[in-house]
Amino acid sequence: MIALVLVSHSRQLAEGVRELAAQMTGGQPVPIFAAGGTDEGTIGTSLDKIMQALDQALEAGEAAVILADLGSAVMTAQMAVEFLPPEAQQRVRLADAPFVEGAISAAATAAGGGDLTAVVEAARQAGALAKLYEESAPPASAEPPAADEAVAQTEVTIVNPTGLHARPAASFVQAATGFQAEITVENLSKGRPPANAKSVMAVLGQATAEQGERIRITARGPDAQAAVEALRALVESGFGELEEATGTPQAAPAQPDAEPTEAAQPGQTLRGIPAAEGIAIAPAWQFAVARPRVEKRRIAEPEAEIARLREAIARAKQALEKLQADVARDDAEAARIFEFQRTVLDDPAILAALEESIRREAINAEAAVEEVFGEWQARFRAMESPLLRLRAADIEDVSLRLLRELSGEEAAVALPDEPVILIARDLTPSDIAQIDMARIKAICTAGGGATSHVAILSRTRGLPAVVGLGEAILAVPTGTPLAVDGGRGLVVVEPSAEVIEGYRRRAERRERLRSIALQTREAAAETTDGHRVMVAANIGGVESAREAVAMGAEGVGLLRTEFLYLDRETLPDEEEQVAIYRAIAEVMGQRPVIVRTMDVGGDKPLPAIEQPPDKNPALGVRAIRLSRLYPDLFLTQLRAILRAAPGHNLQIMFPLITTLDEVRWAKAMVAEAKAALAAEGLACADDLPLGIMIETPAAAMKAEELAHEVDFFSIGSNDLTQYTMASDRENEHLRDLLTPLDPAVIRLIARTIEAGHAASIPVGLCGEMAGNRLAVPLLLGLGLDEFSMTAQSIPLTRQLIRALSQEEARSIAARVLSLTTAQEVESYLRNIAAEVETRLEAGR
Amino acid sequence: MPITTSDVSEYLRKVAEVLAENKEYLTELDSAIGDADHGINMDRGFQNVLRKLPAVEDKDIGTILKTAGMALVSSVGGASGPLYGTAFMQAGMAAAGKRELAAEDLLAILEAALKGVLMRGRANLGDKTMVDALTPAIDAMREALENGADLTEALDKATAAAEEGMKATIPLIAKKGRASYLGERSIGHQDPGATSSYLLIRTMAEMAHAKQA
Repeated sequence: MIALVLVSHSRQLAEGVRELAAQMTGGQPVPIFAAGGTDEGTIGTSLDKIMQALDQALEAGEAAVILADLGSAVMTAQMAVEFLPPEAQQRVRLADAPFVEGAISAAATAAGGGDLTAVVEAARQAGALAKLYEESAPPASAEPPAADEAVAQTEVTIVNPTGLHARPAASFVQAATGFQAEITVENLSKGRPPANAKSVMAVLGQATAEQGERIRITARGPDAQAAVEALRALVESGFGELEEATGTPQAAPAQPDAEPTEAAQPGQTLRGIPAAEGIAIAPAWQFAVARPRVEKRRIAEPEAEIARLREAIARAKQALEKLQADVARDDAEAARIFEFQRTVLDDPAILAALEESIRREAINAEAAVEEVFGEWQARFRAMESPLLRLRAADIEDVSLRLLRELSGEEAAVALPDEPVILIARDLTPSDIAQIDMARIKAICTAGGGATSHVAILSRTRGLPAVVGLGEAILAVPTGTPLAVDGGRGLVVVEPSAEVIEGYRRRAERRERLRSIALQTREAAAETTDGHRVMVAANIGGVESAREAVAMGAEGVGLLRTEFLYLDRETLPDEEEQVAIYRAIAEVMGQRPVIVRTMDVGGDKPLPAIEQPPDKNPALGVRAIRLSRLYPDLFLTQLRAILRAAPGHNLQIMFPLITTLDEVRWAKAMVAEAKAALAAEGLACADDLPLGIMIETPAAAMKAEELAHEVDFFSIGSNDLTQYTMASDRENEHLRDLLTPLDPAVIRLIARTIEAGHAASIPVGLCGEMAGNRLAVPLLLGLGLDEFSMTAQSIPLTRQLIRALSQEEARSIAARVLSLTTAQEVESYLRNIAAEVETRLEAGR
Repeated sequence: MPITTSDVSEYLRKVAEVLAENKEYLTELDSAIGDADHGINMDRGFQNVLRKLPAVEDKDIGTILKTAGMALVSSVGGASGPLYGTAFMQAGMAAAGKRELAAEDLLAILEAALKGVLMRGRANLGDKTMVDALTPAIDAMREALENGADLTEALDKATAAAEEGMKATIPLIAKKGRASYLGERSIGHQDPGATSSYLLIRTMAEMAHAKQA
């Protein structure tokens, strides 16, 4: 795909034209970058902005075309091109074209897969066209075709309500661009002259048509017949608008907020949220749990039917509990999804409604379940809070589970023999538990966010995943070839041989890097100039501790203890906790294990205690705040950790610190626990290092003071990003804001590390960022001492560190600290990562 | 007496001073036919040159000039950025590795700078641009040197020719840049770019006098 760079004196103009041009791409991801205004945001041009936009464009596209508005924009763009390395210069052209029309025309041609020359030419001709339709165009004097030239022609009526205008026109041009033949389109009803069907400006200028009008499509050239047929079919299909408008009414209530679905075209790229890195090429496989067919029957004995229902509910609850425990072993976070489902099965209002409907109407339990749950689902869908609306899917899941229990049918999920790419609206852990993941090469979902459970599970299993792809992905038929790039959030439908080749090369490269990394698992995480850091794992149980050791973790930077609390009605007692901490410590041997005290509450409510509901869970009573509210619970946990510590290398870490007071209180509680244990004559560690998480801007700003209170810091980059950017992690509309590469987050991290070092305490980081290939060089350069991440990311991260020098990393960090936007940081770090990986691959 | 690296640095400092003094004047000229930022832009550009200068002062003349050019391109924001930036960068290429310049070398450097401006801006003589001051100035300098004049004398001639060229832009219709959109309305105003070019040449002559004294 050719990328565009729009250079204007005005930031707003560049942005505005970018928007306008993006409309002409018919959903194709044409990368368009705006470079408008000076660095200060005033009128003028900035060499720096242009160079950055060019870097991004060359990264995102195979080549780039620049459009500029006025003199200095042109000249500065020329200089920017001259500053590129010769190889990159080959891939850039400056189009001598009017800014607005040129950009629109170029975008449409790029979307149709036009090459560099075609896009430049389209932009250039936009100027001539702009003039052409002011004067009256010459009448349609179709030149007689050369004898050996194939000609095809057809007439067709516009059927879609919006007619041949903006978006339909763009898709028409896009389709036409794919053919070699020269193609024209003319509006017969209005008697207008033919327009070049490969130019969106021409089509919009003189061939627009309303619903009911007739147009003529003429093509000349080797593939004329195919072109005419394809375009005719496109017009007759109403440019995909028709299906949207007449969506089957039965389907509608089932998915009230479904976006309009456009069938994915061959070669089309769908863009979603990158959830787990990796590349996969395989056929699509639509996952949909078959819904048992429900027949409404009259029953003679309502009480017997109610008894049958109660049994089914009891079995469903048991199944849920088992599932929850299974999933919790892998991923305590994900397991809490089942919490809500269990409360639904316990809900007295629902139970009463079910029983009443069976009694009153004398209907079978299945029909009652459909009726009552359908009603509740609708109620949840209508709720204002998006979080609650999401619960509708859980209610659906529960009702399916009940129906299955009632009918005795197993949810049969028959996977094909060949490995596939799993596609679903969304996946619950219960879905995942039913699927043989060994046959899955990647996961794509219509819904979900980067921190959804699909994302977390995929990362844990090393599967590439793209989420938030929208309805379009659900329209891809099973068996369609797909290429998935999890790191970029891209899914290519029916990829061309070229695309497959490109993806395959990148996949092989990744695999090579990974195998290089795994071979040197025992090597130290040391830079080429001898700077040593620690690479550790984030774990959530004994199983993941084993995986961490297998992946070469030098310790545990974060032991999440939530799994002890979340999946149960009762609180874990001290003995149980001691046993678990010991079991984990034994797996880790003498390696350090940082135990984070319970990070529950808020969006992870404790079933075992009464908690006032938080309207805004992320900002509510959670983590250390909940510990202060329930000091007994906290004390029990501290006692258990202290008792498990002797003979091992345990450390304690307090989450979500915002004030000094909280730290002092927590330390006092540790002292109290120790004193009590000593008084009871129980063995406990005396000098356990105590640390805190820096995950609120408040803590980062007070890092100097906090550093004097503790033995170590660990930066929680996920929460620090959410709180700094004031963006909910679950809100997919805010995903652009939610990046740890924003300068604000980076500066807070830099500050924290500096403050830690000034007080001579080590600083670690235990968020997704630590294993992010873009962030590693930066964090190394900022002086981070410990990188803690998903075990799967450890080998590659260690390799990255081993390929860098501390000096180089420092200069990378210095450069990043001078940048002003997350996009700049990302594009810069992307280049660095590519360079370092090339170096790695070169075998050094 | 040849021109040394420290002369070149001092020249850049002087130009910065002169442009700071003339900031409002140039902006006023630009407000008549352009976008009223030429003085501000040139001042900002040369202030940036001053910031970059200390790091390269001990390097050769080529490096100093190239650094100045780069500083201009990356900070000016208007057309004068790439134009003067290219001029200084081309001049720097012509002076690469040199630590001293004879009069002929300076001429060659100025010719390279003008070539850079023509290449970048594609203006012709009479288009009402900086070229209208630079071209006659360099021609005059060349002629003076060919007739045996010394550097100071040649620069005096160049300054006079630049001033004449600058004033000659007043009756012209602008053919390039933002002023060209005004068409005939650009008549009657002196071109700000030609004016700043004149100031740059004049500063050279003034330095030559000061050095001779």
